[in-house]
Amino acid sequence: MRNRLFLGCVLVLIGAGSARAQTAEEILARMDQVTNGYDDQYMRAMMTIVDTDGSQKSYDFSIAQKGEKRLIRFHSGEMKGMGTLVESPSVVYTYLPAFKKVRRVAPHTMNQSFAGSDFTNDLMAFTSWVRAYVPRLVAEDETYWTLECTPRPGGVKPPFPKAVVKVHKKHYQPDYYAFYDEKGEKVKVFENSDPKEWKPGLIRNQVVWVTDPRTGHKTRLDIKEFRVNEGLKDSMFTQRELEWGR
Amino acid sequence: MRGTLLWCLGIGVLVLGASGARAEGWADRVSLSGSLQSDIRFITDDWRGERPGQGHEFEMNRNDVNLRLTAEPVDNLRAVVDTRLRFFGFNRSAQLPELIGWNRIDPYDFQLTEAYLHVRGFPWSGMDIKVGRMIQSWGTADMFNPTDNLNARDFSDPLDYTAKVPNNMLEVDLFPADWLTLQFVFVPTFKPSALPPSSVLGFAMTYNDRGEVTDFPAPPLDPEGQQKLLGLKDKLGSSSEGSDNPLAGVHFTTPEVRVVRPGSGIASSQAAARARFHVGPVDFSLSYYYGRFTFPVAYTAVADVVSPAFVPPPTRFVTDEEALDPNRFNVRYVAEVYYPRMQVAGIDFSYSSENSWVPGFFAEAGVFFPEKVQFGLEAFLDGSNILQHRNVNVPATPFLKATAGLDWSYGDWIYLNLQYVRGFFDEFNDRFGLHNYFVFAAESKFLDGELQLRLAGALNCDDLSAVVYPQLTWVVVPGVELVGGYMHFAGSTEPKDSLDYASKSRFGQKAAGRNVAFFKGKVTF
Amino acid sequence: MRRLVILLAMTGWIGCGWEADGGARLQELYHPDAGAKDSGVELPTDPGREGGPPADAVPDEGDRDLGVGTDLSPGEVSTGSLEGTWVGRIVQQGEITPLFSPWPITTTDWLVGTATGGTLTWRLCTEVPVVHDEDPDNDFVTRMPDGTAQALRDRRPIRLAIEGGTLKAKSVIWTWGLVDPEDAVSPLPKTGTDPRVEDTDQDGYPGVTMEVLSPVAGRRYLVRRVRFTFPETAVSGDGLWIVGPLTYTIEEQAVGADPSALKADTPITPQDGSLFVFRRVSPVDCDVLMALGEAAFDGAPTR
Repeated sequence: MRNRLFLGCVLVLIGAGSARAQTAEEILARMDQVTNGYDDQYMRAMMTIVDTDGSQKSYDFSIAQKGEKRLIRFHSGEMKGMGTLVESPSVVYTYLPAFKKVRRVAPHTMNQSFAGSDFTNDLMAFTSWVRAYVPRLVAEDETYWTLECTPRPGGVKPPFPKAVVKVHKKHYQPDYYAFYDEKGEKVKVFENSDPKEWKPGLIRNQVVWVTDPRTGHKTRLDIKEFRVNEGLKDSMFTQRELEWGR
Repeated sequence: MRGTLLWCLGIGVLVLGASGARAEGWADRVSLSGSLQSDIRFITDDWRGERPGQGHEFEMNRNDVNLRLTAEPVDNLRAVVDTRLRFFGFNRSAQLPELIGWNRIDPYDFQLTEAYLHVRGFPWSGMDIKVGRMIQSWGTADMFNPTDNLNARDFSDPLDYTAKVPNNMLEVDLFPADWLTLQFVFVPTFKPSALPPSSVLGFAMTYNDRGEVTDFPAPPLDPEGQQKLLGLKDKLGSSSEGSDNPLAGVHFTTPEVRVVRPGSGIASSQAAARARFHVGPVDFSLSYYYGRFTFPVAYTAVADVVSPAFVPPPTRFVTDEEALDPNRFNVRYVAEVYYPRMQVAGIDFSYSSENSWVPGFFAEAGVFFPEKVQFGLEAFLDGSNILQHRNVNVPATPFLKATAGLDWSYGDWIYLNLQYVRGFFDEFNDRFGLHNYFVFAAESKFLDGELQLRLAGALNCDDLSAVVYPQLTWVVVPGVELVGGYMHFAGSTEPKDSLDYASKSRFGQKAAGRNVAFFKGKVTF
Repeated sequence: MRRLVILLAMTGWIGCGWEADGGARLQELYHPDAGAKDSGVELPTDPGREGGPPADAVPDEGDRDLGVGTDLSPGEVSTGSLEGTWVGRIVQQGEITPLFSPWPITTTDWLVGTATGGTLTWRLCTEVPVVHDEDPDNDFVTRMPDGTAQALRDRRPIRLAIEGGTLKAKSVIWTWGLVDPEDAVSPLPKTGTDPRVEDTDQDGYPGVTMEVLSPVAGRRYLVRRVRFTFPETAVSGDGLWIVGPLTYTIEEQAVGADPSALKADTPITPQDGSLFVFRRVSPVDCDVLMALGEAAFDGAPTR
C-alpha cells in the first residue's frame, strides 16, 4: 500500500509533467508501476539453470506476493512439495515434505541462491525500484532510457549498491538491467524479452535471462502464468496455508 | 405445472452446467506426484551380527514406488492419498512349493501412508478439520522431538530416521488470531513403533567362535535380582566342566519375545492438544499428550530349564533345530515387552535472527509422567519354580526429555546443525536410564547445489559411543538424485557387566544396527 | 523444573497411579492357583516329564510295620559298662544351598553299633538327608543306595572311645570315598581320577554314590569328610541311653555325576541343634532298626 501511495504521488507528477521530457525519477517510477505496482501478484514459471559446461536443470515453481508477504512453492524436481512463506523480512517459514513439518528458518537464508540459480530469494521478489534507488539518466536512444541507480537515502535496502537499467520507451519494461557490487564489479545481468500482454494493460516480459558475468553461469526464467490484483487474501500468506493439504 | 417444470429444468441446467464446469476443471484439481527409489546396502562388518563372522553381505536390495494423489474437488476441501509399494528384492522361498509363485521369490508389500480429508474453514472460517490416516509432526527441534508422540516412529529402515507409522486421527485446528493456533488431535487406536532389523539382537544370545552360547541378554534387574540370576547362571555353568565357556554345558533355544498389546478400548486411545504462539522473532508452543510410549519396555522374563533326565531320546530322523539336547540342560527364554502409558507436558520454541551471523536457536522439552512398570523374572526347572524376582523397571517419577540446538548457514556453502539431546527416541527412564547426546549435522553444497555433502552423527556423552553417517548426494538433473553413504557405529558390542542392563553401550550394542554402505537412486515426479 | 514436578505431584496429576506389574503378570500366567504347578501357558512340555521323577520311596521313618512283639530290651545292664549292642541316630542340623537360596537340612545317620572293650563301634545302616524347602513344588531329595550303605557299613565304621559307662569326648573323622580313611586335613580331591579317591562302594564309579531323586534325577559320585565332636556323656541311669548334643563339620566334593550338572557344589553349613541318641538294645541288625524307625528310640530321655 505504501508502494502504491508513493507511486501515486510520483504519477501525479508524471501526469503534470507529461508535456515535457520525463525525469529519471519519473521514468523509474513508471517502470516500477508497470512491473510492481500491484496489490498482489501471482507468477508461475519454469526456471532453467544453465551451467558453464552447458548442462541444464529446470524447476517449476510459483510465487504469490502481496506487499512484503510471499509464498513460494516448488512443483517439480527434488524440491517438489517444498514451500517457503515470508510473512515479513524477519519471519520466514519453510514446509519440508520429508519431515511433514513447517520449520522456521533464518531470514538471511533468503539471500541465498534460489534453487541453485542466479536468482536469490530476495531478488525474485524485489518489488520496488523507486523505494530502493535514486535514478540518474545517463543515456538515451530511440528505444531505451538508460538509468544509473544508487541507493535511496532512507529508503529500503536494495539488493545491490548499484544498478543500471534500460527502460523501454514504449511499454516501460526494464528489458535490461545489471547490478554491481561494492567494488563496482558487475555481478548480475538481467535480460528480459518476449513481452506479453497477460491481460489488457498488463504487459510483462515472458523470458528473463540472468547471467553472472564473473562465472558465465546463466539462469532462464520462462513465465507461464502471471496474474495481478486478484485480491489474494492475507490468509494465503500464513502457516495455515503452508500446511494446507500437505 | 408448466412453471414448475420450467423451474426444475432451469435448476437442472444450472446444476448440470455447474457439474460440467467442475468436470472441465478436474485436471487442475488433481495432482499426482511420487517417486521411484532403489536402495542397496551392504553390511561392512562381521562382528555386529548375532554370531561372530556374520556380515559382509547385502542387507537391502529394495525398490519403492511412492504415489501421492492430491485432489481438491471443491475449494477448501482437499483429499490426499499417499501410497508406497515396496519390493524387497530378496528371495524368501524356503520350500519348493514357494518357488511356484512370485510372492516368495520377489516379496513385496503395500502401504497406505496417508489417506485423509482436509477441510478448511469448516464449520467456521477459523477452523480446519482433518480426518483420516495421517502423520503428525510436532516440535521445533530437528528429529529429536519429545513433544512429538502422536505417531510412532518407523525405524524399519535405520537410514530413514524421519519415517513414521501412519495412524487414523481426527485433527481440529483453530485459528482464533494471527499469532495463535490451537490444535486438537484424537487417535483411536495405538500403533507401536517399527523397530530396526537389528533390534532382535537386543534379546539374542552371545556366541563365541565355536558357536557356543557364552552369555544371555541381561534383563533390567536390580542388584538383588542380578545376584539371583548370577546364582542361576553359576549353577547352569557348573555343568560345563572342562570348558573355558561356563555355559558350554547348556543348550539355549532361540529366545522368544512376546508383545503385550494394549487393548482396543478407549482407554488405549491417544489424545493431544497444542497451542502455538507467534510472537515477533520467537515461535513457541505448549502441548499435552495422553497415550502410550511407542517403544517397548521390558516387562517379564521367564527362563524355563529342562534337565536332561526329562528330555526324550532323539528320533532317528532329522529333527528340528530347536529340539532339546538330551545331554545338557536346555534353557528356553521367553520375554515380554509392554507399552507403558504416559502423559507428556511439552514446550518448544524457535528463534531466528535477521543477522546472518547469528544462528537460529530452538529448544524443545517434554516432562513425561510415566506408568510405573515392574519387571518380573521367574525361572523354572522341570516345571518347578526355582526363582522369582520383581523390581521396578520404570519408576513412576516424572522425567524430562529435551533437545536444544542451533543451526546456521552461510550462503550455499555450509549449513550446520548442532543439538544437545537428553533422552533418545526409545529411552523411557527405565533401568537403562536417560542418556545425554550431542548430535551434529553439517551440509555443504557444491556446483550450484548439484553435489551435496552431508556429515551427520550422534555421540553418547555418557558412554562415548557414537554413530557417524556421511552421505554424498548428486542431483543429476532436477528430480533425479544419486546418493551414496555409510553408517558406522562405534562402541563396544559387549556390556561392561553382562548382568547389568544399564551397562550396555548405546551405539555399541548390536541392537543399534550394522555398519552399512549404501547407494540409492531416486526419481521424483 | 523440580518444583514444577513436585507441584504436579501434589495435584495428583502424576501418572494417575498407573502401574504395570510384571511380577503379577507372571503370577497370573504361571501360578494361577497360587503355588500349584501350571504348565498351561506354553512352557515346553516333554513326554518324559509327564510321569515326573521316579517315585522311589524315601525312607519314611514313621511308615514301618513294627511287627508284633519286637522287643529291644537288652535285659539287665550295668551303668558301669557300655558293653552290648546299640542302635543310634546322629541328627545333623545344617543349611544347604542347592541352587542359590540356603535351606535347612537335617541329615540323620542310622547306625547299629557294638561296644566292646574301650570302643563303641558304629556301623551305618543308612543316611537320610531331608531338605526343608519352603516351596512344595521344590523337593530336593537324595537317597543312599543300598550298595553305598553296605559299603560304608563294611568299610567305614565310626569308632568312639568309651570308658566304663561313659562316652569319652572325642572328635572322630568319618570319610567316604577316600583311600585313606583317616585323612583329616588334605583338601578333598575334585576329580575321580585323583589317586586319593577310591571306589568305596565298588560300583564302578569313584567315591561313593548317592542317588538324586528330585528335582533332577541322577547320581552324584562324591567324597566326604565329616568330623563329629562328641562331648563326654554318661549313660543314663538305667544304663540304656546316651543322649547329647553334637557338633560337626562336613566337607563334601562331587568327583563325578550323571548328569554332569549334578556335580555342582552344594555346601552344607552346620547349624545349632545337632544331637545324637544312642540306645542299648538286644542284638539287632539294620533291618530291624530301619523297620522300627523312630519307634526304636521311643522313651529317649530329653537332654
